[in-house]
Amino acid sequence: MTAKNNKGYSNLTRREFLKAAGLAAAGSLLSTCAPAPTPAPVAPTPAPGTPVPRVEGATPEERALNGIKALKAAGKIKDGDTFVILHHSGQRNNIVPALEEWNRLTGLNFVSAEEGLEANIYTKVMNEAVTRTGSYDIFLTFVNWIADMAEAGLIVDQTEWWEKYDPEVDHGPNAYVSPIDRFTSLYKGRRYAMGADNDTFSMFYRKDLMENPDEQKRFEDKFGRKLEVPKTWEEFDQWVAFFDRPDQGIRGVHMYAERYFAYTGWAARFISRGGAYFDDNMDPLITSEEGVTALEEMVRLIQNHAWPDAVTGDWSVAYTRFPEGSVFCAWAWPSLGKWAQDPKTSKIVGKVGAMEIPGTMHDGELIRAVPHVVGWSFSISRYSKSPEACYCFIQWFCGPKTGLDAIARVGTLDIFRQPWFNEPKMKEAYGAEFLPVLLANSKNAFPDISLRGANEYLDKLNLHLQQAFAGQKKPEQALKDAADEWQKITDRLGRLSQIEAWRQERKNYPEPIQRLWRKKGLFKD
Amino acid sequence: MHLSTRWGRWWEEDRWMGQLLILPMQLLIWFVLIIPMLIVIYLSLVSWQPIMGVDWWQAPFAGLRNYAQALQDQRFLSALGRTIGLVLAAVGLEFLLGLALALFFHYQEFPAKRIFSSIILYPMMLPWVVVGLCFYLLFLDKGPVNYVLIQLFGPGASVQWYQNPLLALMTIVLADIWQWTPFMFLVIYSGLGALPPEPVEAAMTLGASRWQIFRHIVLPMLKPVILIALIIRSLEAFKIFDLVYIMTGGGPGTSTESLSLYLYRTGFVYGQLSYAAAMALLVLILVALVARLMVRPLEMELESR
Repeated sequence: MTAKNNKGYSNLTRREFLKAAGLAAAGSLLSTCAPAPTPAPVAPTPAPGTPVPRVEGATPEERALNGIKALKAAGKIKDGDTFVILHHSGQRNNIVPALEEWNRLTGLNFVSAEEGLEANIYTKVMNEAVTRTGSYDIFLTFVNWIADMAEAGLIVDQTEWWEKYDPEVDHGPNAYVSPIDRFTSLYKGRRYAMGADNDTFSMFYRKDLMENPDEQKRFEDKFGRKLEVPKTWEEFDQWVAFFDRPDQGIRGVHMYAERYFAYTGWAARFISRGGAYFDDNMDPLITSEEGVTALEEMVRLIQNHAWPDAVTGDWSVAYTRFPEGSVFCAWAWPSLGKWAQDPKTSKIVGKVGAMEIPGTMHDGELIRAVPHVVGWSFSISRYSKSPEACYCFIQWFCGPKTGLDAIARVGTLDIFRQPWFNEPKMKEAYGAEFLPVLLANSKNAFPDISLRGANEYLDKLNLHLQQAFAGQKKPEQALKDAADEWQKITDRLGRLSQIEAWRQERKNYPEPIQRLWRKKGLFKD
Repeated sequence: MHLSTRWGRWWEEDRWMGQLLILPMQLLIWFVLIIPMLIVIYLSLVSWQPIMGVDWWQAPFAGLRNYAQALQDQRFLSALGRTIGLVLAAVGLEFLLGLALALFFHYQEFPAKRIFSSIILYPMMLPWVVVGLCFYLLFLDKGPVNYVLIQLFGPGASVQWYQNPLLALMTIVLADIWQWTPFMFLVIYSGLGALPPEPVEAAMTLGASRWQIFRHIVLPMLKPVILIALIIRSLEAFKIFDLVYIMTGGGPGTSTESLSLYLYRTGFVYGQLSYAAAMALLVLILVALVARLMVRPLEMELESR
């Protein structure tokens, strides 16, 4: 029941741009009046696993509510205190009804501050890091902005509260799907955020064409094997080429090759081949054989079997092309399946299948790598009047019961706790056939680059990949140019710090991928 | 003695009252213009990003390194060249079209002239974002422009407008021309209406042709108005952001990226505020110089009068 119609980078109006710039200028001015030292980005808290007193309560929600009671009893907060949550407007339906419930239960006044454009949220967050007005208490942001927010000294380390209140994120029957539990919350090994979303990509295809006996026979005649959903990228490319029928107005595939998400298709192949973005020293590895081959394959696929707007359009093209029936298969966020099954937005209702993202064979083992693109996580402002009360709210919101209700409502947040995949409410929201596929893909999900400066790393990568897709550069050159830019970013931000962050970040990848890296001897540890 | 006389005169002539009245505005200008400007200059001289974890006033001094980097930054220089080209093409064509329309409306009588002259102004009243979105949709692969081309010349006539850098840039120029030609029309049409009729009448009596009247009388008299229109429009076009952001996102690659878009990305996406400040100041200096050169003929003409 999710509508991912606001995913990705939306267009920015001049008015909004000027507003953001004005805020930044005004913020800079204000901060001259009241300078205060920047807090250390990493607060000294006990290491994960250290035993600490636990708050009473059988569920994360109960412990969060008891936490509020204790804070009130200690005089740290009182009834009617106001807390502001900055989030995207697409999450209104997920968040606002929950806020009303929370305020009723606690007597506090948590309010929503919506922002319509994702890029503006980053601007506001960074502005707050500079001006420190305390305008926002909680941020719901892209997962890969957490590092920037932590390093800017804006958000607090939640590790201690995780131990105190136990949100049941990474253990027990209510745990998040692993490895989403790790990469939506960890930065440099500390819990700076709590994931509230699952943006694992999924692939959808035309089931009616796959089930057509004539198509099955023609495919078998051509390739000497049965027409089945492909397991490897090699099979996938043949499958797409087979169903590419431009003369009938249907192209083989829509995968992003545009300015903002061009990396997704390439990264899935690159990582499944055993590639990694950086080595131990933060030197880019994208120009490796795995990287170049993956890009060559993707360029061939896009240039030969996709509509040109795969390169020139934006994220929303998948949400028009696939439901209108002009591509055989497409990949995007989980909500694409919903759009394709909704008679209001689709001409192919009842003809949609979902599949696991293909992978690469390594010594008889199929390694799949599924990009987790964007994703939303809760973090807490250091300048909040009570960061601990904010923590209690996010634990309550993401709890097994409250979260189930919130995520099942139409909005841009998607299912992330493992037991929810068996819940009737979720089966109704997502479709019973799709949920097992999404679960399988989620288990193979790998994070966006989530280092400090992630925005810039990804933007520079996309820039050069799009040039390759548009035929302006050879794949090898595009990756070399991106690697050169990455080196500059790393040097500017501090190589040593980035090395440590990358060392921690790669632990958040799915175990089969880490195993493959070890087998290849990619890293020393 | 001399000083006290000056003070006395200042007090007696009530000049203090005037200065007191403008004081709030002076203070306001200091706080909203001069202090932020000083901060921008300071930022351009340090090496700072919010994500570095230090405050901007504690950032390490970089001297002119940001400026030097900008002057060697191929993406910055390309964006600068591209923006200048875009301004020349768009504003040049807007001027020619605006002038032609203004002459037509000024010298020709036709039914519903007033209604048409109002309709012409409508594009200028639309927000940039709306114009950008409309033109983006027009030139989509399956958009109306390609539809017409296919109807006229067959399936092979479909054009990938946004995949070819030159064509993509052309769609942006077209959108800008559509929106801002009315501005040129409005200014020149008003200028024509304000011209004294006597010189033209005298020239006609002496047997001058239409072209001679336009070339030697109307155009020189319109020159100040035209210059003002060109300056205002060029400065505005130089800051083009919305159309590029919406129609192409600066792509494919950076092939349609304007200066404003690159500055936005550097400052707000990459968070390199120091570097963005240095580039912005370089652009400011350049634009100020160009504007000065454009205003100079106007000043010379005024001085000669």
